[in-house]
Amino acid sequence: MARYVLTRLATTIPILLAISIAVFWGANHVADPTVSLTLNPRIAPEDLAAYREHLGLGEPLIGRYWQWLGNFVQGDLGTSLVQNGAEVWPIVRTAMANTLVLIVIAAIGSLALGIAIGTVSAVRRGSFLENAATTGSFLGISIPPFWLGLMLQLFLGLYLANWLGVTPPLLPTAGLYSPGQQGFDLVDRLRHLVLPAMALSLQLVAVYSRYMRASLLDVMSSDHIRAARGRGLPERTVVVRHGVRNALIPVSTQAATDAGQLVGGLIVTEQVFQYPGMGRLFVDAMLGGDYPVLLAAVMITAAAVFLVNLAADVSYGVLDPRIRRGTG
Amino acid sequence: MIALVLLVAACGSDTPVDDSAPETTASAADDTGAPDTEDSSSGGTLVLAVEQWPECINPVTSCANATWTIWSVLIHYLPRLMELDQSNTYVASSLLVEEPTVANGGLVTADDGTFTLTYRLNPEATWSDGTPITSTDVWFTWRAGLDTTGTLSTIGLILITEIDHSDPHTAVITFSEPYAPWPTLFSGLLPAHELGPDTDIADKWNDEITVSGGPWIQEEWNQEQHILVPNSTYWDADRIPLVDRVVMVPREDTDSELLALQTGEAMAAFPQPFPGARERITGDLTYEVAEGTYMEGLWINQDAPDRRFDMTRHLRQAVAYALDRERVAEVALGTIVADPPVLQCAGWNPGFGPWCQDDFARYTQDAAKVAELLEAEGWSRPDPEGLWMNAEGEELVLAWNTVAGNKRREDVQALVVEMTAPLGIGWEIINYDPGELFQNRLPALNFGPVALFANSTNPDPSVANLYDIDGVPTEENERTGQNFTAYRSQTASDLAFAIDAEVDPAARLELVHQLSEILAADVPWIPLYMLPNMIIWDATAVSGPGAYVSSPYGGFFDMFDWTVHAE
Repeated sequence: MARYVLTRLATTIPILLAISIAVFWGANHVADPTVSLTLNPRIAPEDLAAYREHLGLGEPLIGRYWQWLGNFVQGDLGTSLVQNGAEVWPIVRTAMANTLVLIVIAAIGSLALGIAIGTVSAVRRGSFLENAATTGSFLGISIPPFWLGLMLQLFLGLYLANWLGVTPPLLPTAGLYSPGQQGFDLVDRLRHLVLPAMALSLQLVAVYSRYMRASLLDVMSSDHIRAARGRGLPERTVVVRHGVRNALIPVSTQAATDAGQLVGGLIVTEQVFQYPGMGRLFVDAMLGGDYPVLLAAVMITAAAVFLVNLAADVSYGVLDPRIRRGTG
Repeated sequence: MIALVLLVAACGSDTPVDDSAPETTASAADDTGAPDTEDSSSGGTLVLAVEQWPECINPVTSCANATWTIWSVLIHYLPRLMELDQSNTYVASSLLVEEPTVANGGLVTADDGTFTLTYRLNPEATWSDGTPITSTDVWFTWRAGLDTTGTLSTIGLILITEIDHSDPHTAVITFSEPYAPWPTLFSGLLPAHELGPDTDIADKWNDEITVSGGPWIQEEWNQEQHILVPNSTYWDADRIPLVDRVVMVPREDTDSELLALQTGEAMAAFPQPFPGARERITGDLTYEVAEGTYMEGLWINQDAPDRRFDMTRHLRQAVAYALDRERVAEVALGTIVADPPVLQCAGWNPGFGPWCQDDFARYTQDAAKVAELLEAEGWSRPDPEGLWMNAEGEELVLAWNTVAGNKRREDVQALVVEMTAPLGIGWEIINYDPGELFQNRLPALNFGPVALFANSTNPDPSVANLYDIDGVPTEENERTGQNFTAYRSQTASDLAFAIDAEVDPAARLELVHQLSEILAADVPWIPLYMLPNMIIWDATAVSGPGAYVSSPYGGFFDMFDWTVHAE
C-alpha cells in the first residue's frame, strides 16, 4: 500500500507541473492586469511602463514562470498583481476556509440525503416514493447548478420573503454574513450557507441516491443477506445492518472521487451567491490577470482534489481487500 | 491621483446639464429622489450594493485607478481642493477660502513661462483626529503621487516644480509651464501627519483609511463589507451625515444588485444601466437615469486599410446626414430611459458643464443633403434603388466594426443598415472581440473606416492628444498616439494645444467652442448618445438618492444627505 501511495504521489508531480504551465500560459494570455490602465488615456505611457516593470510583467514569460515555480516549491506563493502587493497566501487561506465550510456542509448534506433517498428507493421498489425519487434524481442531475442557484435565490430568497412578509429574507441570497454584522454569529453564517449549499449539493444528492439505490439492490441480492434473513433477523435489521452498511462502501468512495465535480460546481455557485471562496477567487484572479493568485488557487485546489482521490482509492482498497492494488 | 482617474474613469455628460437635477428621470414609485423629511427620520443604517468591489484602497497606487475605489471609498474620506458641482463644473470646495482666479491672483503665468497657482485653505478645516488640514498636506500629496512605488497617475504632478507650504493656510504651487487642467489635481488630499514623513506610501492604507477629511470615518473595510460612520469633526455643516451608519456590500452584477434591492438586503445600488430596466424596476423600487460617463458614436478612420475610396469630408458629412440619430438612440437606450437624448457634441470633447454645444444638431436625416454632398464629389446613383457609385465604379459600402456580442451596438448596426439602404449607403459589418478591436486594431488604425464604440469623456478639456496631428498612431510614435481617426487638421491641432495652455477657464471655454465648431464641420466622428448612469433605490426604505447620478464622484457621493425610513 505504501508503495502504491508513493507511486501515485510521484505521478502527481508532473501532472501538477503541467497544470501550472497551462494555467500560467493561459492566465498570461487571457487577461493582463494592466489592460484597463492601457486604455486609460490619462495615464502616461512612461508611468504605465514603469508600473509593468514594477509588477515584473516586462520579463519573458519563461523567466517569470521559473521564478514563480522556484518560489512556489519553497512555499512562497508570491504577491498579488492587483492588490497592491498583498501576500497571496492570506488571500488564498481566507478563501479556502470559506470554501471548506461550504463544501463540508454540501458534502455531508448531499451524502445524507442521497443515502436516505437511495435506500428508500431500493427498499420500496415500484412504490410512489421510488418513482418520485427516480424522477427527482433525473431532474437533479439535469439541472445546471447556475440555474438552480438563480431559482433558489428567487423562490427561497425573494418569493418566500415576500410571502412571509419579512425583510431582509430568512435565507439571504448573497454574501457571507448580514450587512453590518461584526464578529462571528453562527446562526447568521448558517443562514447564508443554506442556499449555496443547496445549489451545490442537489446534483450530488441525485447522483448519490442513484448509486445508493443500485448498490443496495446489489447487496440485498447477495448470499449474506439471504443468510441473515434465514437466521430470522427482522427486515429492518437486515436492511440497515447488513444491507446499507455494505452498500455504503462504493458510495463513500464515489463521494471522494466526486471532489473534482464539487470544485467545478463551486466556481458557479460561489459566483451566483457572491460567496467569497476559492471558486470566486479563481474567477476574479483569472479575469483580472492576477496570475500569482490564480496559480496558487489552482495548484492548491488541484492538489486537494488529488489527495482526496488518493484517499478514496486507498480507503477502497482498505475496505475491500479483493480489489487492493498489487495483490490481485 | 484621484482627480486624474476621475478624468477618465468617471465622467459625465457632453450636453449642457441642468444645475439642479439629472436630465432624465424615470420612477417606478412615487419618489422624486429629494429627501423626504415627512416620512423619514435621521439615524439608522443605510445599506448599499456596490457593483465592483475594490481590491485594495491605497489612494495612490493602481488601486486608486479603479472607479469604484473612488466611488465607494476615497471620495467619502479624502478632501478636495476643487470640486465638481452637480452640473459637473469645477468650483472651490469648502476646503478653500476662494477659488483661484486670474483676477484674485490665484492663477499667474509668468513671463518665463512658469505658472503659479495659489490655494488659500479654510483655517477651520481639520482631519478627523483634530489636526488642521494645511498646505503641508498639499505638498505631501504631490510628493506621494510622485514618490510612491507603483504610482500611476503622475500627469500634471510632474510639471510641478515646487510647492511653498511655509504658510499653513496657503499653498503656492509652481508649474514649469501653464497647466490648464489644474482643477483636476489635488482632489484627494492625504494627511501628512498620518502617512508621512516617508512620501512613498505604497505600504499604507491598503485596507484601512485611518484618518478622514470628509463627512465619513471608516469603521471597517474588507472584501465583504465597508462600514462608514459620520465624522463628528467635519467642518462643513452642509454635509453632516443624517444616518448613523452606512454599510456597503459587494453585489457584483446587475442581477445580484436588483435582487438585493428586491429582497431588502440593500437599499440602493448604482449599477450599470441594463436593457429592460424600465420594465424590471417595479414595485417599491425607483430609479433615476442621467447622462453618464461614456459617449458612443461612429469613429471614422481616415487611414483605414480599405482604400477603395477616401473618407473625405463630404463623404463623412453625407454619412452623418444619412442617419436618423433619434431612432438610433431610441433603439440603443429606449429600454433603459424614455426618449433618450441624442448627443450633439463634438467628438471627444469635454462632456461636462458648459463645454458642449449643439454643434452636431444640424445633422438630421436628410436624403437631399446626402445626394448633394455625394454628387459634388462625383458619386452617382445609376439605380435609384441601389447604392451610390464613384467614378471608378466602386459602390458606397463602408466596412463597420464594433465589439462582437454587444447587443446594443449590434442592434444599432442592424438599424443603421436598414435606415441607410434607401439612401444608397451600404455597410459591411465585421465585428471583433474587445481585445482585438481595442488593443490590436485601434492603435494600428486597422479598422473601419467606421467603428462604433464608446469613449470616456473628461471633466476638463485636455484634448490635445486627441486632435494633435502628431498624435495619429504611427510607427514613429510607436503607436502610442491617440488620434484614432487620423484626423489631420492643423487648425484643430493648434487649437487643441492652445486650449491645453490656457489656464483661464473663461478663455478656455471660448477656445473649446471654436474647436467644437470645426469638428462639427469636419465630422471626424458622428456622435450618437451618452451612455446613461443609473441609481436604483427602495423608496420605502430610503430617501435622497438621485441628485448625483451623472457625477464623476458616483451616485453615492451625497449619501450624507440621505435618510432611511423608520421601520
